[in-house]
Amino acid sequence: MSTAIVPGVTSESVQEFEDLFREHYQLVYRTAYSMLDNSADAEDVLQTVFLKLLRRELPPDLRKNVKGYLYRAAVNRSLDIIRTRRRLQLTLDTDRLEIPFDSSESDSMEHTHRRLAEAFADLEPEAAHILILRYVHDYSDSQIAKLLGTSRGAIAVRLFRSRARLKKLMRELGERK
Amino acid sequence: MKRQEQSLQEFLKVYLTRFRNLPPAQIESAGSRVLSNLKRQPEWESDVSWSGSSSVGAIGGSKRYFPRSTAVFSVAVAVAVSVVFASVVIVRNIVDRDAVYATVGTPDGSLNRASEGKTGVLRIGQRVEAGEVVVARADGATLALADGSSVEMRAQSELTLERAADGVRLRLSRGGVIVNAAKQDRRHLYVQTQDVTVSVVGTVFLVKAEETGSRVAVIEGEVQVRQGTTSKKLLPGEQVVTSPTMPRVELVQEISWSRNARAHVALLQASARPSSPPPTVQFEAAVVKPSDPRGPTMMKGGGCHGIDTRDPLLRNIPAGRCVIANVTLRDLIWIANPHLARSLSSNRVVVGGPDWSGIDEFDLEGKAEDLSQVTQDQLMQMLWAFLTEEFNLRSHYESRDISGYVLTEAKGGVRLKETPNGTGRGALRRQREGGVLSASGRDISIWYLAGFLSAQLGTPVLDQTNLMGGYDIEFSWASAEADGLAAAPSLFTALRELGLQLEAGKGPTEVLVIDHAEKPSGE
Repeated sequence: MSTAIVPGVTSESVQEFEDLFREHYQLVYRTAYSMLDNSADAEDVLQTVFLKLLRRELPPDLRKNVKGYLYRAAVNRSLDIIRTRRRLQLTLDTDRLEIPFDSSESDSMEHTHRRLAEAFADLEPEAAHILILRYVHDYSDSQIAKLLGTSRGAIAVRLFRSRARLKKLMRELGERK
Repeated sequence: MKRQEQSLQEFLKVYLTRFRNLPPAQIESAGSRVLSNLKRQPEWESDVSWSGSSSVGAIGGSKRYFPRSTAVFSVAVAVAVSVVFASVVIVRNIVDRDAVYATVGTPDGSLNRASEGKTGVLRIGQRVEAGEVVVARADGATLALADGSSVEMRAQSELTLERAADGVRLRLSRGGVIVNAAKQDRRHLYVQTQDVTVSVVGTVFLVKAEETGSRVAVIEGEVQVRQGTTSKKLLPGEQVVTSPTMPRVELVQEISWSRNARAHVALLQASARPSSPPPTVQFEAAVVKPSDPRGPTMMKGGGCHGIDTRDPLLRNIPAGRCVIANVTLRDLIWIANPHLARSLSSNRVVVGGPDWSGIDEFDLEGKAEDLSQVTQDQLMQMLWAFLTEEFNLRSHYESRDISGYVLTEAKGGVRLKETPNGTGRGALRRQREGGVLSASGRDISIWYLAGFLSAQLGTPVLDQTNLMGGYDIEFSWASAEADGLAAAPSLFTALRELGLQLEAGKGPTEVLVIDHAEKPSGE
């Protein structure tokens, strides 16, 4: 008899899951918060990511890099929320939301962050993974490479391309407004 | 825009590095809540036994999370260890099932510990042991028991958690509680007052300890009430009092203090016995099903059209019906709860629940019996009752701080014209002329105005005025593109002219937390 938390992985202790949560929840929460800019959605991402872990909806290679998996899951789930939010705002209540952001105070921190989030949603997920690690978590190229399981050189190139792509998307979003 | 001319790196530094300094207390509090929720999941019970506190606190301790990642963990050792390990797990599971403790489920300060020599404010996720006395400081303070039951307490209620021979006993010294008892196999949950004992195995019920006696009422399921040597079974909607001087009180009124009052009322309606009068708030016919992504309906959203509905968009729906398409369960809940802030997205005011509740989309249609008389409020109640039943929904309300703009009454007082006999159901119509935007409408509620302003600003706007009813509102402001050239004030100044103040701030907002939801069976 065992209490496997992950298929094929026999846990030595039933405390394992809680330890895992305690070790990584800050990374997941901070990542989600930086992308969504509100605590409720960030908390939601935290719960969803660990709930999946609890329910064993996991890729088989999890055990190789659990931190990398949780981080990617946090970014991807946050991107889902940004995309859903955008879709809902376009259609759920057209009376209220016909043309947002048109006051003279629109250049607020929140507004800019929302535009940045929308640009993130249009990036390749991998680009978002790299940019958040660099600018939110202050990771070096080699730390990013280690977490995402690639080489330092590849990260440097991708970081450069990701910034260029983000800049283009931000400009396009600005023009669209 | 100037900001776009700055180098992107500078820009990212400005906007993203600020998240490095999130307050640790905020992160820990979120972690505590989530861990506490995870521990209530059935998967946790089946796979992960735990016995520690659910307060997250500082990270540290064991780093031995996963696993011996290689097959080096040899089969021989694994077999040898598993015998010992299995017995440890069995013992722990038995201990956990028999454990008598509770964890605080509502924000810090909602409950006080009041045991002799051990007093103070309880924090969310903190553990309350058997024998400890707990006092609720606010309506709706909640304790989660180790067996999955939850106890919602009315303000000033006092109870003690005790071990019973075959389960757990809550000794209620004063006040009232609503207990949502988890289904239990061989064990029982008891609630005891000075003159009555209630025993249950899986139900929702109210117990109140008053000066003259006790009151017990059932919301869902059944309970056994014992007073001295007499015993009585209670069914949904029924109540007993232990003193003839205690008046009978409507159960709906009795539970109105609860954060889950609406859900309880819906439960009452859903579980009412056939002999009871038919519930008045129910669709004549309704259906909910998963949205078909290839279906013909392009609409996303929807609502209900009652006899008093004025919103032109909702009036496109056939009268006496609710029609909603391509939305998540959270959206459905948000639509069915008109008191939840309209200026915030459904994901911010409806939280928790299974992950599909914010992802999977559904179509819903409901039709009232009396199409020409039913009001919007009644349709909303029908919608809520239907959702509660179809999704086997359990939820509660909480107050959470959200930052954005706060709308208050200006110092000089409001200069709004009240709509005679207004109900606040009107909608604002927005128009643009060159660089000037204007909005006008009759019978506008202030919470609706807050939602409208939120859309203009792209930021939540919280209504903190005390203004009720409807107002005739008309104002104009310069759009951003006008670049100061339009002959109109800014939105902020325009509002000040109406006697309303809009400033950056943070305020408590009611959110609905999904405690339990299941996908509809499709029958």
